[in-house]
Amino acid sequence: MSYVLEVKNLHKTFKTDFWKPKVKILHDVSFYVEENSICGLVGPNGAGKTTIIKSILDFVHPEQGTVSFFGSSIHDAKVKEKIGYLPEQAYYYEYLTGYEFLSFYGNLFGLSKKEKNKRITHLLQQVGLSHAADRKLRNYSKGMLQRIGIAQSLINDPQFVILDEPMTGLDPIGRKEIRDIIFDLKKQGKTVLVCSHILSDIEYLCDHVILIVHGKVKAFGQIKEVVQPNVHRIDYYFNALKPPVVPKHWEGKIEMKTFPNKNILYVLEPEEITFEQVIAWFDECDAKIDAMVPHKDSLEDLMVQSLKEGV
Amino acid sequence: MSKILALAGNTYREAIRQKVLYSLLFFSFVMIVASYFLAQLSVGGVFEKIVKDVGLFSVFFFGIFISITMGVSLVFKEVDRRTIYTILSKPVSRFEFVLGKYLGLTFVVLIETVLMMIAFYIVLAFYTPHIQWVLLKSAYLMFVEFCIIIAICLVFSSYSSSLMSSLFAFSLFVLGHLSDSFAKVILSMAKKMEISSNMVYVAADLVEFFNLDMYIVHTKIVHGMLIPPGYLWKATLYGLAWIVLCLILSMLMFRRKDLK
Repeated sequence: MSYVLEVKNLHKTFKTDFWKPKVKILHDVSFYVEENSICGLVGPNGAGKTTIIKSILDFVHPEQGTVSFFGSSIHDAKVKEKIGYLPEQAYYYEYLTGYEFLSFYGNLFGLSKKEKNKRITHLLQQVGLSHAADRKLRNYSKGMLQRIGIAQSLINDPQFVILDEPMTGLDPIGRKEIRDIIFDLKKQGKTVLVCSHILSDIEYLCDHVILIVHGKVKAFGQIKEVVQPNVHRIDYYFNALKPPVVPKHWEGKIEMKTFPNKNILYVLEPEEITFEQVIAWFDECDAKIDAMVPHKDSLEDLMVQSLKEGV
Repeated sequence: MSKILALAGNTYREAIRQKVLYSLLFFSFVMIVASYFLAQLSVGGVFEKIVKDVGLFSVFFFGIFISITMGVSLVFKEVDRRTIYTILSKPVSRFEFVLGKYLGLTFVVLIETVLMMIAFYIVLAFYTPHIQWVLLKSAYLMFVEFCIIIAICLVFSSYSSSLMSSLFAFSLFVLGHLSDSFAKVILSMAKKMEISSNMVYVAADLVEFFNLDMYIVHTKIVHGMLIPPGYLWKATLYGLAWIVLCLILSMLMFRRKDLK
């Protein structure tokens, strides 16, 4: 398996104040990103996600560790030609129009005028900003700025795209459009690293996930491996003519709530109280099941648990 | 080279789209035009000299003002606004970034100097029908000093805020114009305190070496004094040496800077 990005044993400290000692931001961070995958870098605010991205792109200099893109160093100019990057909450050059903005970044890649115009037209269309190409960025909304930011990250038709909080400031439709763009990139054979704290987006988008808590890699792997599909609770919605009597040996393992039109049985230990046992009990009570809702562990549960544990 | 030119072009575009630049240019024109009316108030037939003196001083004053105010934010603003991340993630080295920013602002100041000189010559034309090309020597030397000041600003802008950079750059500007006097003060203080170390002489020589006063020749020209042959070359080479030194310094500092 070839890796687009390989990070090994990254350590980074920062001085937060001149008089205070250095604070360790990253502790021995190691992970890799496989080719043609969507990888999510997640963690709570201040976990070190953005510092990891800044370290791998050489904006900040880690004290220890190695970073390689396509098997080469970031200092290799050819490597940067294959990378696209959207920073978190960047303030773009507000005096430029959308077209000029993309043209400027196209010039940094030395694109020919013809090629540049073709890319700009395509990208403006892709991010839904063709109508605002001649408008200055200072007149763009937050969502439009985020889209033009994504467009600049794709100006060089990169093989590897790093998106730091790409959904920030977008409405649900905008978020869906960005998700579609990310899926499209994967379809085109590209690799995407998405940094976000919107966990539902990550779970939906990514093949792999890197969970960062307090500057350490808490979990790394395929989403289905990291987020174990354990069912930790099952809710049974049912109707009964008379209030059912719960078997004594279920006490402590279930909870039940009764409402005028419905009853809910929360099975807190689904491994012990199986579906068949519940159905048999409903038959005994003349109850009729309406719905069953299993609750699985999510990335959010994992993150909250990691934070509680303090790593 | 195309990347450096793209960065320079963007810096130029940013500057010319700022209202503050036009305000400064407007005030410089006002001051140049005011020299005409100031001359009217004088006696003794020195009208032309006053127009030249005040007009060229205006070009110098506003040139320095624009160089410092825009120079100190060259790199700092890019870091502060986080626009630098999108640039350095492209195939652009920090060296190219610094050089592009420098060239962009230098071009802005060149355009601004040319415009102010045109305004100056128009005002001067009311007193003398002959175009005095010799005054361009003064404008050229001023422009070289602007380039040095921008390079100095760039050094400070690479690691400190705009306010601190302005203070440092302005201090060096003053030191550069009073270097002779500062050197004399150092020597006389050392004498009073009875310090006879060689270090004192080295310090005085160093201070004296940073001499920006050589770029102020308009007073001499206005009063009909000749500029020695080869002076422009010498001043240009001296200026280039400082510019290269400052650019190397800012690149070295910026290379290791963590862009948090």
